[in-house]
This record gives sequence, structure tokens and C-alpha cells, in this order.
Amino acid sequence: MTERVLEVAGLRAKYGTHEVLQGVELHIARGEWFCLLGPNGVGKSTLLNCVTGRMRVEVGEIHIGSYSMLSQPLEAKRLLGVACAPEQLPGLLTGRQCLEVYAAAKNLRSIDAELLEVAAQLGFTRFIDKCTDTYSLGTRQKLAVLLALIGDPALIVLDEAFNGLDPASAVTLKRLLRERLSQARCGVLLATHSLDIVEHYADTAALMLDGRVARQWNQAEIAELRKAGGEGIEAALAAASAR
Amino acid sequence: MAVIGIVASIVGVAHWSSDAGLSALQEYWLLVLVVAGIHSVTSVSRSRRHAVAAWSESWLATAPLSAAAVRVNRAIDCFALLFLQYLIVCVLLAIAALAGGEFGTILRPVAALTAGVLVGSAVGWWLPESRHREQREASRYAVHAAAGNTALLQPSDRGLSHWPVARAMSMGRPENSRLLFVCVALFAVQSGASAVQGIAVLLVWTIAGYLVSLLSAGITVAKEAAHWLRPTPVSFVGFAWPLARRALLHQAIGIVIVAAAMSGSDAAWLEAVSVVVLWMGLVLAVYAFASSTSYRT
Repeated sequence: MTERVLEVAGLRAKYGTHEVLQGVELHIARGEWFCLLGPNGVGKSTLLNCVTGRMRVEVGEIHIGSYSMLSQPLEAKRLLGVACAPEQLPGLLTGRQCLEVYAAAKNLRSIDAELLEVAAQLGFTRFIDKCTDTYSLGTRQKLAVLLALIGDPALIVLDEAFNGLDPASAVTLKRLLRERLSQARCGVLLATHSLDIVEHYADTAALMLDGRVARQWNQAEIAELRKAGGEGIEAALAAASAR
Repeated sequence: MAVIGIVASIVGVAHWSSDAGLSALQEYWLLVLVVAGIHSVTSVSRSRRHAVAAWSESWLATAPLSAAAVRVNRAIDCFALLFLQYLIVCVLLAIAALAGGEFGTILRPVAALTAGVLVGSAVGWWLPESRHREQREASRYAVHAAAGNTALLQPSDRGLSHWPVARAMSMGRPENSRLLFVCVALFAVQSGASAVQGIAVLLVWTIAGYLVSLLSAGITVAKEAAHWLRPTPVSFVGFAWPLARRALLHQAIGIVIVAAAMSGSDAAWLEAVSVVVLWMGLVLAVYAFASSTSYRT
């Protein structure tokens, strides 16, 4: 059996009295690209916040690798790489400082050369010594993704990480993630509205509706939809949403 | 808090040595006029700039509203706060005059205040907008780290130490700290004081302002940093110490300079030492509380 990097079971979470997540179940294996789909306000970002430890879980369990996010959060977070929302980057720090602080927070001894290579491929290096509040949306996204890749994490969590990226950088990032997945270095959880990514890159996709996973497509089903071409994935999503 | 502040102000003004204070204001009516004018110009022009920027991003910007309605709305935005401040000052002056039994003593200061506010508001309203259009980012006022070699990127918590200081610097930008200098100019440097004494008072106020900003920055940065670093396995010590380290050093150096300036003037050295100890105790308590309440695994 392939090693699971994320396992979410019976997850419930709420803002005040409003229950946003109502028993979410999902798991991601090492080497798997998992796309989380769904209309606005169904709980995709809330789910990511729970997985990354930003939000307290009411009921349920989250395991990253073999560690529980609830009872062993520090061990679980050592396996986690998160691309925060661009507006959450500290505006008064430079890109260099952000990368150094994140690496120190992850107790790393060094920042690997591969990350610097990725920074160069994304065209980020020339902005590295500027404060992040001077960055464009795309440049912030690049920094957020680089922060997620620090320390070669087993689970990479991305929330709309391709928004604002120029096409060349987006392709570079997709290829890079695909390469890491093919080497079974990590699993990827991506919340997105982009069906193009589901069609060309995802191994598994799930549609969230009303705080729970309403429909999930495995690798074979996505391959079928891919073969069908045309509006295969859109039609499948519409049909699942209409149920 | 606001109610307590107002009550404290009224009680303070009522017990103020109204004769000396009001006669000083009568004597320095021109200064009152100038200060009111400067404050009105900057306040109204800034409010107008913000109102224009907010309107351009508002969901109502494309609605078919009349230009007159928009102008009236903008005028209310710009003048309401200034008018409220003007009323509060007038009421406080009236209370002081009534406490002293001579209502006539406030006529000249109030007239100067009114003239300053009216002229300043008009100038602030009509100031050209173009030179303010560029919104300056907060990091412009922070001290930037020297550009380094990308190939030598190493894990380091120096950025975390730098963050509260950068925030304090950006909070103390000229448009935010102008009121402090107006207050200093009005109240701190007494007539007859030497230039050196005046500069010393200004220096102490500047450092004190920075230290208060740094204290406040420590609280806000602790929250932001904790949120940003929450998905990482950072320990409490690894989070709290780098965050406070440089800020504590700045606080210690700053308060020692302030204490030295105090003991050099009229305060006894024992008072100066107690100021240092009390301030550093407060700073440590605030930083420890801010870090511990923000940090969560």
C-alpha cells in the first residue's frame, strides 16, 4: 500500500455557530496530486486551514504522515509545506528574510540549492532583496510557493497558488510539482477553480459542496474524462453539483 | 476608554491652573492659530485623499449618483472629525474658563483656533491631489537589509528580529508623527529655554515616541508572525526570543538615553533609574504576554 501523507477523517469545523465543515473524509498518498474543487464558500479554504493547523478542529482527525495534527502538531508540521495566501506575507520583510525565517522555523541547517534554482526558474531572484509589500500579486505567489517548498516537505498544500502567475511561471511550477510527485517525494493538495489543472495534472479530484466531499474522481476516472475531451470535466462537475 | 479619557480631560481641565494657562494661550494666540492651521491642512488633505481613494474602489463608484451628492459625502468624510476635535477643544476651554470665573479670557484663543481651522480646512481641501496620488508602501520607511548573495541563503531568524523595528519605523513615518512634534512645539519647549534644552526635549520626545511605537509594534507583529508561522514547527522559544531580541535592545538603549536626559535636566538620578526599571519591566511583560497569547502549536 502506498504511504499516505494526509488522512482526514470525520472533520468538522465551524465559525461561531456556522458549521463550515460537516464531516470531511479524504486521503492523499505520496506521489498523488489531489485537486479540491467547489464553488465559493463551501469550505475549501477552511479545510486547508484545518489541515495546516491555522484553525482549530471541532471534531475529527487529521494525520500528516503518521503524526496527528491534533496531538502531535510539531511533528506533523515538520512534514508540511504551505503556500500562504499572498496577502498574508509579511510586507515589511524582504523575500530573502521570509525564506530565511521560514527555514529557521523549520529547524533546517541549510536551504538547499534546488530551491534557489526554482527561484531562478520562476524569475524571483531579482526581487529577493525587496520588501514583499512592493511585490506584484504574481511575485508574492512565487514567494509563497517557494516557502511551501522549503525543506522538501512530504505534503504540499496550495490554495489557488496559480492565481496571478504568468503562464511561463505557472508551467514551470506545474512541471516542478509533477517531477517531485513522480519521484514520490511528496503529495500535493491544491484548492483550485482551474479545470485545466485537473485535466492535465491531477491524479485525484474532489468536489466539495456544503462542507463535505460530495464526489471524488480517482485517477482512472480522470483519465476517462480526459479521453472524452471537450467538456468532459466541466460536464462531470456540473452533474455532480446538480445532485 | 474614550469616556474615561473625556472625563479625565474634563476633570484635569477643571483643576488646571486656568489663570496661567489661559493667559499663556491669550499671549500665544498666533501660535494657536498656526498650529490649528497646520493640523487642519494636513488632516483635511489626508482625509480627502483617503476619501478619493476609497471612492475609486467603492462598489458605488459606477452608480449613477450626482456629482453634488458625491461631493457632499466627501466633505462630510473630510470635515466631520476635524469639526468634532474643534468642538472638544472649545468645550474644554470653556470648562477651564468657567472654573477660573473669567469667560472672556478664552475669546482670543477660540477666535485664533476658529480662524486656524477655517483657513487650514480651506487650504487642505483645495490642495492639489496629484502629489499625493502615489500610495507609499510601509516598507519605504523601514531600514532595509543590505542586498546579499542569493547563493548564500541560510536559515536565520534575523528577519523576525527585524520585523518589530521595521513596523515601528513605518508607524513613525512623518505623516503619522507630525502631531507629536506639534504637541512638543506647543507645550514642551517653554519660553526662555535655550536651544540646547529645546533640542534635548525634542530628542527625548522623539525617542519616547519611537519606544511607544516599538512596544505597540511588538504586539501587532507577534500576532501577524504567529499567524504566518503557524503551519511551521517553530517552538515557543524559537518564536518569542527572536521577535523580542532586537526590540528589547532598542528599548534598553532608548530608555537609558531618555533617563540620562532626564537626570541631566531637573530629575534626580534615582528617579531616572526607576523610570528605566519600570519601563523595561513593562516592556518585558507586554512582549511576553503578546508572544504567549499569539503563539499556538
